[in-house]
Amino acid sequence: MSAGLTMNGYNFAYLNEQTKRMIRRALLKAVAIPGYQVPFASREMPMPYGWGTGGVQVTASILKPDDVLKVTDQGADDTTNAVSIRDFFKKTADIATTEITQDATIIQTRHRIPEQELGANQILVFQVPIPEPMRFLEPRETETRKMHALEEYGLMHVKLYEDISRNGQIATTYAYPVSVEERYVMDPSPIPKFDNPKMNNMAALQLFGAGREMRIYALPPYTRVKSLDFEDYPFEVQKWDEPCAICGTTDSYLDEVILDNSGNRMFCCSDTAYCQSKQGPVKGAEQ
Amino acid sequence: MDDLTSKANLDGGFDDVSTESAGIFRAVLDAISHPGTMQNQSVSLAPPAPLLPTCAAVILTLVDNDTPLWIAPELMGDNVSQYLKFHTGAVLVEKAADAAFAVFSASHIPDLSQFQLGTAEYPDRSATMIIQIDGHGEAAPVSLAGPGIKYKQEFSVPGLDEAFWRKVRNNNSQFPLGLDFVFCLQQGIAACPRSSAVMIEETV
Repeated sequence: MSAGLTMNGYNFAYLNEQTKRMIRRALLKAVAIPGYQVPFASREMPMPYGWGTGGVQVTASILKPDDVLKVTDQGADDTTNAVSIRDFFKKTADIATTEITQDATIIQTRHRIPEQELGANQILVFQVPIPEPMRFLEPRETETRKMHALEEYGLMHVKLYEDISRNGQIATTYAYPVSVEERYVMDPSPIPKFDNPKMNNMAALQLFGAGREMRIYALPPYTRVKSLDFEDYPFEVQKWDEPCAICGTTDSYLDEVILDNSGNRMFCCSDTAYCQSKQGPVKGAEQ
Repeated sequence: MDDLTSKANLDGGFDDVSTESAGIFRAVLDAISHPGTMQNQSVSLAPPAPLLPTCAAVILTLVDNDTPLWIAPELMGDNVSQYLKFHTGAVLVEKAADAAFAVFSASHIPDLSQFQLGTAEYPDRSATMIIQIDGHGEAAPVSLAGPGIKYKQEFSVPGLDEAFWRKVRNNNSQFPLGLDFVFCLQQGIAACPRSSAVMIEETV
C-alpha cells in the first residue's frame, strides 16, 4: 500500500489526484487574480451542499501530511459542522488537528475570522454559500460576469444607498461587500462585518471555496481589502455595551445567548478558542 | 524509441504521488502568494535531461490530460516528451496559443505574446509559464510590489535579464489579464503572478 492511502483505502485527503490538480490550478489562478471568482468543476462530497463542500475541497487540495488543521463553525470548534469536518480529515488524511488558533497551519472556517491575529505561515479557508456579491441584485450570471469584466459596480453602491434611505444607515451586517485592490468587488462570505477589517493586509493567505456554486477565489497575504462605503456614511463595525459574560474581553465579536423564557440573555465570545485563551491556562476546570 | 512503457520512461516519477505532489503544490502556492521569494523544496524526481527535477515536479503536480502543454524545442528531447506524456497524460501542443502551460528555459525565452492572456470575462483562461533556470547568465535585479508583498520584494534570478523583466512589467499592465510565471531553480521554486508590479533597478 502506498503511503498516500489512508487506513480505510481512500486517497490522501479523500479527493483523487486529478480532482486535486484541477482545484490546485484554480487556486493558483485565484491567487494571481485577487478577488476574481475562478470557476471550477466542484465535486459531490460526502456531505450536503451548505455544509462546506467548497471549503472541504479547497482544504483537501492544499493539505500536506504535516499540516495541523483547525475547523470552526461561527467561531466555535465544538459544533456539528466543525467537529465532523475535522473528523473527516482525521480519517481521510490522518493529520493532526487542534482548537488553538496559533497552532494551526490551516484553518477552515464557516462565517468567522478568528480573533487571534493570523501569521504568514497560516492559511484561512472560508466556506462560501453565494460567491457572487451582486447575485441578489442581478440573478443572471452572464450579466454579473460582464459587470465584473467592466468594473461596473454601481448597482452595489445603489444597494448600500437604499439601505441608508430606508434605515438611516447601512443595514448590511454580514457578507458586507469589499473591494479588492481597487479592482474586483468580492463577497467576503457571510462573516459579520466586524471581521471585514481583519481581511485587509492580513499576513495569512485567504482562500474561498463555494462548492454548490462552483467558484474559488482568494486574497493573497498583504492584499488591500476595503469595505464599500460612502464619504458621509463611512464603514463601521458592530459594537457592544458589555464585555463577554464568560471571559470579560471587550474586543471580540459577541453572540447573544437566550438564557430562559423570561427574556434573560447574555453576550459571549463567538470565537470559543479566543474565549478559552482569555480565561487563563486552566481548561475546563470549573463545573 | 516510441515505446511509452519502456523502463526509462516509467522511472523517474513521484514515489508517492499524493503526498509528494501535495508538498510541491504548497511550495508553488507559497511562491505565488509571496511573489519573488524562494521556496526551498527538495524533490525526489529523476527526470531525463535537460529537465530539472524541480521543473519536472511542478509539471507533474499541475499538468494532466485537461491541460495542453507547450514545451520549448530546446527542452524537448525524445526522452522528455515520452516522460511527460507518460507521467502527465498531457497533450503536447505545437501552437503556443493552444497551451495552458508552457515550459521553457531562461536562456531561450520565446515570444510571450503568442500565449493566451485570458479574456475580460474569464481572465483565468490564461497560460502559466513554467521557466527552468539553469543558473547561467545575467541576473537583472528587480523589486516587486502588489498583492502578497508587504512593502516591496527584491528579486533576481540568473538568466533573467532586463529585457525579460520589461516583458513581465508589460504583462502586469494588462491586469487582470496576463501570464503567471513560475521559476524552477535547482534548489527551489519562485513565482511572479500577473498581479505583481515590476520595478527594474537601474544598473550603471
